[in-house]
Amino acid sequence: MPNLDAILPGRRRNRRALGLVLLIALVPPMALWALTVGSSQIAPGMWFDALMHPDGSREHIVLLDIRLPRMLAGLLVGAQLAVAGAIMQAVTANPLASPGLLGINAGAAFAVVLALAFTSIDASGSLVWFAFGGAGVAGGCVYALGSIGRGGATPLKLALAGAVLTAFLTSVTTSLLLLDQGTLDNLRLWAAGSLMGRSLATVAELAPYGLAGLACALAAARPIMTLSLGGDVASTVGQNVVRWRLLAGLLVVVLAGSAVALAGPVGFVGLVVPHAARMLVGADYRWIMAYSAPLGALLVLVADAGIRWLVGIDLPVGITMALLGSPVFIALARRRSGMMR
Amino acid sequence: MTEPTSPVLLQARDVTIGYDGRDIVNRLSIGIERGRFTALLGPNGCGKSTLLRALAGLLAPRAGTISLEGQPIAQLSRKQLARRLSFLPQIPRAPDDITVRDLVEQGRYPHRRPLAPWSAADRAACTEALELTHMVALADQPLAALSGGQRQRAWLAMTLAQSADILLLDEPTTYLDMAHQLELLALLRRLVDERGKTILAVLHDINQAGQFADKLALLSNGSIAGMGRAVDVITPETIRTVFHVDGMVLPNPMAPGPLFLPRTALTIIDATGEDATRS
Repeated sequence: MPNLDAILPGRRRNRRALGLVLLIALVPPMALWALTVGSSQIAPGMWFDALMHPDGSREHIVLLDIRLPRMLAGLLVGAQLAVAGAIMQAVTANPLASPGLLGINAGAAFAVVLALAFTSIDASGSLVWFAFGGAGVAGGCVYALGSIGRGGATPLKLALAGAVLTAFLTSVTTSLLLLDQGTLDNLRLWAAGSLMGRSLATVAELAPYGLAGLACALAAARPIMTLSLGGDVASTVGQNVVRWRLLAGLLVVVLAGSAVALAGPVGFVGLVVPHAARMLVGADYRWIMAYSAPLGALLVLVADAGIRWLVGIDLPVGITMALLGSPVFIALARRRSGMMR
Repeated sequence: MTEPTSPVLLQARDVTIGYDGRDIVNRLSIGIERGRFTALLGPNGCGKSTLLRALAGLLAPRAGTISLEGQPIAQLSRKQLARRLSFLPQIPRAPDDITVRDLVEQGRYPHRRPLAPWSAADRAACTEALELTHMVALADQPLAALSGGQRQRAWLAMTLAQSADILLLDEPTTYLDMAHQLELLALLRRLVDERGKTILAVLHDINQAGQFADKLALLSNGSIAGMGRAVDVITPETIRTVFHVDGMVLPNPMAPGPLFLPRTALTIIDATGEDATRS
């Protein structure tokens, strides 16, 4: 296991803090690099001019209206989904828990498409509430389905219930999009999980939910760590387990719901990133959550811009993440198969 | 040892406790005295763990009340209860890669306010808990790297870090070899004598209980079959009734108090593998 303790000198706490600072310091240069990637060549230094003295040139418009919102959306969505996944893995003691696998992303996406198809609502600030509702209802359904029968909500039963609900909701969502002749290409891309075509206004409308969710999640890291020890131990040391499980669920709904409203159901981020963070810092969920935010932001940013830079094809990031994440998922499921029964 | 009786701190009155519609403990009453080490003994499945979980507030009794200094524990919040009473389950679970120190620090949960920094009192309580359990050198090891006995001591350290007056321990000696068992029991004895703690521990060895505890409570089929000092409780008759074991009681040559010497079990295993009591 590539543990930080082996790489960095000093005491454990200092090593973890130093690692976190390094990760956060990586975000700005990677974000600026992402601004340079695209079909038209733009000099790396031009973002500064574009921000400070926008002159309406084609390059400046591309930077400000296309690449900047895309980059910001990638950072937000990555951090939000990764932290949501970390919370879910802590609270359910389930290595396979994540907003993608347990149907929460699919539920949020379904609710948004439903609202677009059957109401006249199309403002992101209103649609996000449908995403919250869909995420909450889907999460509740998966938990209820997975809890039926002997042994309660085991990791495997939850993952199966999540897979079933995701398959169902995704096919209904796709049908709605295909049947509705009026839907834009933009929306179809969104339904596959994509950062393309977000306006800066949309990002600005949805960012407060995501940022508030991230801030609350990091503030609640300590009780979430206590929850990760299991209900019995948590109650013994004085935690109101029911209240904190509900609050953690609410955080997941806000983080995953607003991420889906922004970029559609992007999978695997919430599964893979907390595992990577755990390999770096161990079982302490306070650090896992703190690491997950920059790691998730970097992963989505690099997956989105990297595929364009490498092969020049503009793939929706949801598809890139599925290509990257599926092998990791299989490896995790095999390694943890003893725990899943 | 100490005076024969002390005021009751934790009291169960006429409690009926069970899971899934089956009553395991029936109209049981027990009073745990302040500043005493009480050992709870009984055959497998007699309801020891169930009673302990109810006393710890983790399982609500179907009938009857459990009170702490006269106040029903159902009226206390989890945090209020955890500041006064700590509980170590029989097989506690935590993620394998958590370190001993991180686990022990969890014991401070009821004393910390949201977002408040780690205080000097928190640090002192954790250090003391690690020292008392001889876990200082192992503090940065992950739980998975420890032996069964070390792991048990790590959990006990978490329980001690809680700084509660009452400790409820479910079979704390189970995974330990003989030396570690005696060491742990001596530690419990010291916590009572020097810190004035009140301890209720489920034990299996009646002689160890007689040697280290102030009071013995014998549980049989969900009710109290005997409670008192070792000399009053350890008799061939009570042990025959409660444990279905025949034997004799001798004076302990090394310490005041009785010693039980088992001769034979009064049970036979029939063809179906079921226990059938002969007496």
